[in-house]
Formats: sequence, structure tokens, C-alpha cells
Amino acid sequence: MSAFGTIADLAPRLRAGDVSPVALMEETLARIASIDPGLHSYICLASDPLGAARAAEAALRRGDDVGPLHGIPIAIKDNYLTADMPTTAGTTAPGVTFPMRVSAAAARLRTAGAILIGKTRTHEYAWGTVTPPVCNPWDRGRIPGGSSGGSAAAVAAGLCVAATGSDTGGSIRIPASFCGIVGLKATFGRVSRAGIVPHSWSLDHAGPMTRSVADAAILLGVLAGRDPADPATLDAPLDDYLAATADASVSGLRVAVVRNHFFGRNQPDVEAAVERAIGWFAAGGAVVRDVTLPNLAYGLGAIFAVELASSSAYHDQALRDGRTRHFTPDVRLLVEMGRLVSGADMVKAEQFRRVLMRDYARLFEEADIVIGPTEPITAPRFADGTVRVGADGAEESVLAATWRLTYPYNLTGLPAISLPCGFDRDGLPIGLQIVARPLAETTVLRAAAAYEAAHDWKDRHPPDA
Amino acid sequence: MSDVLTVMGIDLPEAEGAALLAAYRDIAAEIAKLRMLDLSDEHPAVVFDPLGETPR
Repeated sequence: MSAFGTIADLAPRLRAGDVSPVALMEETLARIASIDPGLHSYICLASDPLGAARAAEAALRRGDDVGPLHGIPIAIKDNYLTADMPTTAGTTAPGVTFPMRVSAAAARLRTAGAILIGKTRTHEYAWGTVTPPVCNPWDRGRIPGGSSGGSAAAVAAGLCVAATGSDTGGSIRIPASFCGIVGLKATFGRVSRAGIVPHSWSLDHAGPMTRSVADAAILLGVLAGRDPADPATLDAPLDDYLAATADASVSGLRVAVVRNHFFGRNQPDVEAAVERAIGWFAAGGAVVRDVTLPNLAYGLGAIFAVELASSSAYHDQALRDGRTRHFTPDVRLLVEMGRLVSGADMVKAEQFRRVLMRDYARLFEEADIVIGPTEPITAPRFADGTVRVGADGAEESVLAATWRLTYPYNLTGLPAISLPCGFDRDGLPIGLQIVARPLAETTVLRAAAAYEAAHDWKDRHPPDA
Repeated sequence: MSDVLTVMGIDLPEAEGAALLAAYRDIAAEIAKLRMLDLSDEHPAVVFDPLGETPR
């Protein structure tokens, strides 16, 4: 069987007995043993994933088909609490411990039949886009992105069938783009964050990281829904997400391209690949038009205020008792900086979010989706503190560049997906970002599935994996 | 500048405090842009719910 099988392919074969859960798990564990010592995507494995696979196989033989993920090995980001595996949230600071209880998302996956194979590394407290020591499977001298870098690397390298991520400023979509996989952040409140270590309550999203758009739809169908344990979850009807990906077409789709902010400061190969993707939508019968959203110029200040202040509030006790001194220097600095954000700035940022949400609401009166690059760059090298962007090669810090095109959709809470749309001259993946109005995940998935089906990007895999 | 940190209750060695303020300079510049907007009539995205913790 292929090391790069998808849920959509494997699930029916598992149920039909064509694929054994035990054989699938044995192959996955063998790949982890062989490949992960060079990638470092996992921080720990479950104590007995093979035993869980045997139980899944026995259940199938009895005719007990427990759900759409029966026997599928899925990895969990290490900021999701689990009862049977420790959680570190990427920190090694002494005195920091997390409860051994299951997060809502992990519980839903297990109820759907998934086998939680292990925990994947995150940048410390989901702050940052490097995720050391995880390497990018496409080039081990490059970062996988973050903060869900371990999940992205594991999915791209065939070390699980799918994984979970969390996204506060882009942490699902950034590594998805850098590692050439699909990452979906649904509408804020669609997926419960209960039991996920908080980063910034009003910006945090949980979601799937997969090898195909259909798999993202399947996992969203499992993860989405109201949860009283997360006060931000929405009591809104759910859709048939997988159905939206079948026989998808873009004919008649109204596509907006936000020309300011998202274009002009990208690496040339990225800009060219995304323009080709836009051309594909137009050629397929979509109605494409360029728009501008001038208020995006104020977005960086707003997300800095909300994210830094919220993170410092979460870590306030650790700041006061000195535990933050043991955080890695980049994260410690960010957590300390949040204390400098004034209350007025924080509230003004929340006022600004309404303005930006209204701008997008107006845009979506005349458009079904917005498309553009997920990232202005492909994966930087570990040693790169800065990257060059735009036709003039302007220098920008890696941290600033990596979240520049993703954070607007955390401020607005809009559903956004990243999927591969090509490779640069060094063979590194490029991500396309598709966004829609609130709760229109089916629109995002339909457009993404149509684009994916017309290209072979998802069938390309890292050379050494 | 260390007085600023002291007033805000941030207790750091002098060199670390200086580094913190230096690192915050770029962020402050972005927040300064936000301050230029007149949002007086805009309700923040956060809505307080007095019934939120009250059993119904």
C-alpha cells in the first residue's frame, strides 16, 4: 500500500477488508522509525498504537464499524491535551506541566475511530514559525514552518495519514504551505479548542492538516460542532463537507483577488505560481476581479496588540514567578512584550477587527471566494533570519514574512485553506490560500477540490520520504 | 526608559529591559498606525455577556 494514502482512499478499503489496520499501522511505524530520526516531527508516540490497530481490526471483523476514521493513524499536535500521552506544548521549562486529560478534538477523532499514533512537535507555546528541531521533508536544511511544523512534516513525509494543527496567526496554513500539504482553518468557533493549550483566545483555531482537500473535509466533519466546553464554539448547522468536494467545479464562481497586501511583496516564483492558479480559475469559468482593502494596512498592529497581550495574560503567572526565564529566548521576548501593549491599544485592536470584518463582508457581497498566496515565500533555511521578497528583493524578517498573509484571517475568523499550487526553482512547495465568508467552509472546500483535481501537486512527495 | 518598565511592574535586569524595549520598537510603530484611526463609534469585537456564567 502507498505510504501516502489518504483517508478518502484508505477508509473504504479498511472497511472492505482490502487493507488491514494492523498492516497500515505497521507500515506507518516502520516509516517513522526509518525517517523520523532525521525529521524530528514526533515528540512522542502512543504507548501501543499497534495494539489499537489490532483492536480496530478485530472490531471490523466483528462488523463493528465505529466511524469514518476507523483504523486511520492520525497524529496530534503537542498542544492538544491527551489522557494517554504527555503534553508539553513545546516547552522544556522546568515546573511546567499539563493535565493528562483528553481535548475535545482528540476525543472526537477517537470516537470516529482514529488511532492517535503520537504527538507532533510545536514551536514553544505555538509561538513562532520555525518549530525546532523539526526539518522540512522537502529539504532538511529548511524550516517546516510553524507552529504546527511537526504535524506538517509528518503528513508530508508519510509518517501518519493526517494530523491536527492549531492556528492563531497562520500556524496551520504556514507549515501546510512550506511542506506541500493541505491545511484548513475553519470559521472561528467551528471547531472546539477545549483542551488545547491557549495562545490567544479570540484568535486560536483548531483544524486538520492532510494530504488532500477531501481528507480535510472528512476531518472537519468529525471535528466541527458546538461544544459547551469552548464558549467560542458556534451553535450553527453543520454541512456535508465531503460532499462539497465531489465533482467540484469553479464555473460561475465569483473570485476576488485582493491586490494590495497579498501581492507585490512575494518571491517571484510564488507570485508566478499564484498568478497561474488565478488564471486557471478564470479559464475554468470563474469570474475573477481584482479588489483592494486599504484597511489591511492597520492589521499588523491589531494582531500584535491582541496576540501579544493575550499571550502575556495567559503566561502572567509564569512571568511573575520567573518560569518564563526558562522559555526559549524568542518566545520569552514575545511573552514579555505583551505586557507593553496598553489596554487602550488592545481595545482599539478589537474595534479594528469589526472594521476589517465589515470590509470583508462587503467584499463577499460580490464574491464567493478570495484567493491569493498563503505565504510570500517558500521554506527558508534554518539560518535565515531574513528573506528577500518582491521584485526589488526587499529584506524582511522571516517571522514578519511568514504570517503576513495569514493573520488577516485570524483577525476576521474567516474560513481559510492552504493547498499546494506548485514548486519554486529549488523544488520547494508553494501554497495557495482560498477564503470565503463565515461558515462557508463548503465553498472553500469546493473551490480547493476543483483546483486540486486539475493538478498533480498532491501526488508529488518529498524526495527522501 | 527603565522607569517605564518599573511603572508597568516589569522587573528585568537593565540589559534585558533595554533589549525588550528595543524589540518592541517595531511593534509599537505598527500599533501607532492603528492609533491613527478614529474608531470612537466602533464597538469592539468583544461583547460582554452578563448571563454567560449564570445558569439559565
